[in-house]
Amino acid sequence: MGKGFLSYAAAAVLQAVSSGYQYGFDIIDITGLPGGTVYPALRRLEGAGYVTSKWEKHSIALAEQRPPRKYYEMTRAGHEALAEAVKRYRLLEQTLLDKKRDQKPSRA
Amino acid sequence: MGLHRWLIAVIGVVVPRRLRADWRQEWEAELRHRERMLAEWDRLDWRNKLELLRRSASAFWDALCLQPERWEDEMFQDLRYGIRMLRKSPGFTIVAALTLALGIGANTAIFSVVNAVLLRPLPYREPDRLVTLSLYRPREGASVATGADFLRWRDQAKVFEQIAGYKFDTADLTGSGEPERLNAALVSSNLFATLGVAPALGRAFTPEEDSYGGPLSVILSDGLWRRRFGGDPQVIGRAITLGGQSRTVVGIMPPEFRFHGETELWLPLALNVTQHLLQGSTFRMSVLAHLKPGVTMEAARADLSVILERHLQASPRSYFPDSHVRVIGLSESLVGNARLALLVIFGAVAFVLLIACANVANLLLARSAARQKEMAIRAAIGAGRLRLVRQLLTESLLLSLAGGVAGLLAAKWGVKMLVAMSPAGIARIDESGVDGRVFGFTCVVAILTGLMAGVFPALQASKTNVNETLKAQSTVGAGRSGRGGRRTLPALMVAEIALSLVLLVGAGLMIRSFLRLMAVPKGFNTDGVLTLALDPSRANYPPGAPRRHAYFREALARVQALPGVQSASLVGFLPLGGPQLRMFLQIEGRAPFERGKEPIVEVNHISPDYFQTIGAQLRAGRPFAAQDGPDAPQVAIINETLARRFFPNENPIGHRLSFGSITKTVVGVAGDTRHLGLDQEINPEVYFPYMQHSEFVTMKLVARVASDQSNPASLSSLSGAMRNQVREIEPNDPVNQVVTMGERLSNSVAQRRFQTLLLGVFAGVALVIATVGIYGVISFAVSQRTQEIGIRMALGAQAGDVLRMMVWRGMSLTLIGVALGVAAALALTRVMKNLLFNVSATDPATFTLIALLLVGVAFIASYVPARRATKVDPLIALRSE
Repeated sequence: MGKGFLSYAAAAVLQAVSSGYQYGFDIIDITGLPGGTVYPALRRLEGAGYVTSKWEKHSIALAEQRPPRKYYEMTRAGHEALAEAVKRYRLLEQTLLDKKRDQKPSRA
Repeated sequence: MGLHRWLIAVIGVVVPRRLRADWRQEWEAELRHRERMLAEWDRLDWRNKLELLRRSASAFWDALCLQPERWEDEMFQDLRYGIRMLRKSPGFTIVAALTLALGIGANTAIFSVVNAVLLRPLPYREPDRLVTLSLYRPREGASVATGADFLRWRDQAKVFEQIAGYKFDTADLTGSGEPERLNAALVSSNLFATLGVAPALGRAFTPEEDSYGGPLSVILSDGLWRRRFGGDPQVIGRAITLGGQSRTVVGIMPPEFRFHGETELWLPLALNVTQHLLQGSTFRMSVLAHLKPGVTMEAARADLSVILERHLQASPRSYFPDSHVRVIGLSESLVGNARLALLVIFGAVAFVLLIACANVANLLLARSAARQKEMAIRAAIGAGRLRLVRQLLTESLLLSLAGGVAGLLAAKWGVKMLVAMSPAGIARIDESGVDGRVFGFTCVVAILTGLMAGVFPALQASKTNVNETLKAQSTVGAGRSGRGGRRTLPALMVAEIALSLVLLVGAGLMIRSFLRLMAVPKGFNTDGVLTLALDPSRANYPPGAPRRHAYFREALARVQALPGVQSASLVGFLPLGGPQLRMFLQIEGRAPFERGKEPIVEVNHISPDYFQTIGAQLRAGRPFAAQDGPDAPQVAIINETLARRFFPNENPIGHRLSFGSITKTVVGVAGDTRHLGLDQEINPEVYFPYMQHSEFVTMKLVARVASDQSNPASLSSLSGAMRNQVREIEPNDPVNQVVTMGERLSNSVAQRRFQTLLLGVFAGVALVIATVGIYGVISFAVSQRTQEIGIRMALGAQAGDVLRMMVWRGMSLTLIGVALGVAAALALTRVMKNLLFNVSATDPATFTLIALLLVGVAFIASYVPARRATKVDPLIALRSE
């Protein structure tokens, strides 16, 4: 994925990660994009070096009796790419803020 | 375990193995976490459960998006490994890739010609509905259309949207700049509309311009317009002088427009309708028609036949009551007999490629025997058979792609050479080149080649017996498990020999017929004979006028006076120049031939020294002399064929022959000369003294140079002198080039020579590849059997025994290949029957000679590596265990 070629969906996913939504399902919730879009976007962003992924601590997972979750973090390149993308997609920041306001944690 | 988690586990199967565990864990952890959260909030109702299920289903898209990685992973692995393996044995790689490049390049080159000549549709509107119309006259053996035919068809036929006529001619451009003779076409006003092409500038001809006595106009080709008029658009509407007439330029054709080669300008046909229809006409022309939608060629033929019938009933005194209509597709009529030759040559290069494939397969097989161990190790650490096959196929595909790239480059150059070498008369061959279709063809051929060459070796090599191979000692193991290869290898060699034999026999037949053709008695001598077509401008020297006559005489006198010229003569039609004037023959004092059944004879006009100049024999009687002038008794000389056919048991001299209104006394019999071509029958022919006939329009000047002058340098300086002498008569007229009779002979066989040369070259290439193949197989056999040979020699076998054993292995395979090849050739050479001359397609001499040649070559190719076997030192051979 070349620089400056972030699709809208990828930019929205990146925006979500930068806003602190680090898990795939949370990003699906916050962006409203389907999982079939969000996950491939995350993998492409990771491939491009805009995000990195880590496994959460084993102890937490053990406590909840499930496998460790994978979470995503912004990289420096990711921040630059996001700034770039925000310029191009002016609505991006706004949209996400609106979403955040509407979000009900009760929804799956 | 929830349904959604089960779903993730199933979908995970699709994910590349390398990523699978992580992928499953990520999805499962998310689902389980979400499930727990919902449970904590007490919201785990059926709707949210459904939502979770829907979400886990979307993992499928995620998995799909990861697919390319799987392919990339394994493909890159294969590619990387393949390249590494190929680089490890550069000798093998270069030989194999070059072999394939040769085969693929030859195929690409010939395909680009086939594509241009046979496949690419004509660049006209609805080319499938364009047909040429003519009447076939069996007695003359020719298809013709006259002005009268054209007019009748145009007025009466109902099945065509358009009928257009054209005739090729030349036109002398004078006025500004060097006078020049240009190729012109007289065309009916609708020709361009029929072809669906419009002038790029200006307009097409109007019907008024196309009517007799109408305004004089001309349309220029793009090339002529740029060359002579600097591409100036203002030339439209301007007048230029053509053949002494002032004509207005009305249009310029687009640069890409071609119709029958290099026509440089078009003039309106402007037929004199009344004259043509009333008198019938000897004005021959070509007729092109555009079929109405849904009309078949059959229907067109039927329609025209009705018109012909009607005409024959109305005028029963027609000379050709037995003629019938011919409707031929335009593309077919353009391609003509080049089709068969091209397809045969295309077949030949396909054979070359097959041989190349077999050869590379041989090399791969030999190599795979040496790689048994590697395969076994790969199988042992978990590679499936499919994976091994894929790996090996990747290698052969790499080879064939390298070959394809090299072949494509070679073909680009080869096509240029082919076109430059090709004889005139193959329509559109100059348009050959590498276009999208050719590129696609090459890609497909390269891939097929890679698969074909690689699939057997790959299947063979992947058949590993891990235990056996790994247990065995290095070389012995390789030898033992290569048993399958030992069977495939000879089979490929036999196939190679059989294919080569077919090709060589084809080429042999062509060469033999070419030799036979060149040995045909020509009836004339080409050495030191120069020819020049005289055609002074018709404006200054009107046809039939004494002035034109005087021009010809003057030219003859000047050339006769040139030092170094032994004798010179005028002639209407030179040998090998094609059909002559044709007339009906009657013999005085015999019952006249029935009307419509009169024999046709070819009529030529010559001046007294003709036979001596051209080197023809006079069998009886006397040649023409100066006194056979217009007022002297009318005389003629006949050729031997005529004498034999009509005067089999009597002396023809003194007999009187009549041709229409002309009656002549036979004064001599000349030896036969080939007029239509070396491969054509000789027709009965009559010579008239040129001085008794002044009605013809063009003459050829032919000169024999003194025997001490017939070296190339003197010939060329005499050619120049001859041309200058003629030019001095009328400095404003363009003069044609002087052509030696040898060149005319060479041109007349150019097509055959070209075909023969091509087939010969490809057969030669095949022979070389096959020789390398045989050499490779025997070398391999020797290296595989080193130990066995060592044991034999230790037990007392002599070098001669070993040599005989190894050579016999090669020869036995060769003999099987030759036998199969002969059978295949017997079946296949029949298709080229029509390309042969005086040689049967199953000519035993050619078959025998080629079989012997191949056996001889195979013997040498097996003898050389077999000698190496005799050098085996039993001690070393046995110790290597």
